[in-house]
Amino acid sequence: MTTHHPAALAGAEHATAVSIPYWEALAEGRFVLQRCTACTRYQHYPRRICRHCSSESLEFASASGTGTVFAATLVHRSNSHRASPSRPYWLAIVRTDEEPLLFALLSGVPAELDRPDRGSGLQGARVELDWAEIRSTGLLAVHPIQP
Amino acid sequence: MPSLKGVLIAGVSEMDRTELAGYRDPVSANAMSIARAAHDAGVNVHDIDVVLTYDSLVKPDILQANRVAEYLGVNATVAATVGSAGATPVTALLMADALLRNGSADTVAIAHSDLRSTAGRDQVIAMMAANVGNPEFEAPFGPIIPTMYALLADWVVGAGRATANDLADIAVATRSWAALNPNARFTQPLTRDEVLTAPRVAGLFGKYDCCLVTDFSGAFIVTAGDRDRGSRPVRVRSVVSSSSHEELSQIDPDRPMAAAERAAADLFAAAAVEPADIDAAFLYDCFTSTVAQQLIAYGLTRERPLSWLLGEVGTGPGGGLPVNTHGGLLSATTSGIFHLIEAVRQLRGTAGRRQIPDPSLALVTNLGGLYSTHCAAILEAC
Repeated sequence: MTTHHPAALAGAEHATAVSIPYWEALAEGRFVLQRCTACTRYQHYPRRICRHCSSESLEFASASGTGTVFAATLVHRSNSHRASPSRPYWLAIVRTDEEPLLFALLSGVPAELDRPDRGSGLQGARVELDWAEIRSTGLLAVHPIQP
Repeated sequence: MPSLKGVLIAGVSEMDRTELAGYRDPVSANAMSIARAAHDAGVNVHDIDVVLTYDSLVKPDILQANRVAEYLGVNATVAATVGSAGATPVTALLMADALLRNGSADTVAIAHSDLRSTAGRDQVIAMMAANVGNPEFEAPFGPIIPTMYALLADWVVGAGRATANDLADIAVATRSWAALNPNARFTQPLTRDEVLTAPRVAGLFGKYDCCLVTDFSGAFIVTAGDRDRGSRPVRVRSVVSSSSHEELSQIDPDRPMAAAERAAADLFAAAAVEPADIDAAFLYDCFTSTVAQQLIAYGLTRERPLSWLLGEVGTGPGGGLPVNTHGGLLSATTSGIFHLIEAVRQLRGTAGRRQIPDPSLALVTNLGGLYSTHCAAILEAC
């Protein structure tokens, strides 16, 4: 466990009646995703209806917290009206092993890796949740899985 | 004049930047642009029966179209303020096409004006960013619109469909066209190296990969059937729309450009032409990467590498496939209505110093959201 004082989770202030269990679990150090009990597929963001089969029978199920980078970008300019880490920072879209895509900070990757002449080159990299970074930033974060 | 069947774009207008500086209200600018487009079409303003406008970002007004009609003294059958973000001008053309074909309208006026300098550039960027991303799961990461498109540009480069040099070459070619357009905002030439080493915004994007924030005002008139007055019209050969996700994390990672590919298939089938028949393309260029991805999705690369099209064929002045001859959103002005207006000027042969030789078919696209809505039209010289 980290010794840092846990930062408030930045998205939780906008939690909906449907998404509260996701944020409660994340605050407790557990990662869950919404799953349809009818077709068993996952979806994210949480909804009142399954986007795959239209069932209204949904639950939150433990998720692996691992996935693959779909795309990543080094952010130099950001929306100053919102919570965001110091720039530049890596932002990734992660394709979870459960299927849904997630936005996450990408920690443990040096900014020097970014090259304007060829992009991030990080597509397909295997990543896992970085709980220390989540606690210190209040944002979902992943880091590369060391081979 | 020979008999003309189908839906026609009969008149266009674009307000000069110097004149627009005297305006403080998008309603009056829209009204003036519509009146001038009507004059160009040989249409009496009071014969306009449908007014469609794309709302102002800095002065939002859900009744804007009604106010524009009122300003002109037009008693419209339909006055509607249409919204599908950047896709709106071609979405409005799609609506006009349907209303004209089913006999619900005779003369449709479509306009887009905004006076973004009245709010300030940073404020406009913040306004656009305010709507970006799911408030729980995306917005807390601080993305602005370029961040979102940079993620998709990283995918297109990572997937081997385009290179960073390709994106830079698009910025360079677009700027070369803008140099020939007296109403373009930026006209000084760019080099590939200047684009690649410009101050960074996000990932593959430097400042020259991102669209401008400018003031603008333009309009066009759509009618059906024969015309014996006004300037030479342009025929709407086909017009389509295709939507998928809204939030970026809802995109299909196996087919991020699925909506554009569907639009392209529908568009060319309805027009009964092939991508190789297109003489010039006017592609929504909010970022260099959107031109790259649309050139591929609409089949204009003919299944060859993008670098072949940009290098050997050429999309700039003198090139084999002219793209965005007015200078686009990257160098000229910030609305997709001008992609359509410029296509009409080229097909009429009235594009001045940037006129291309004898075009007969043009592709026009508008893009809304994060590749969320693709609207496209094929226009034909009459």
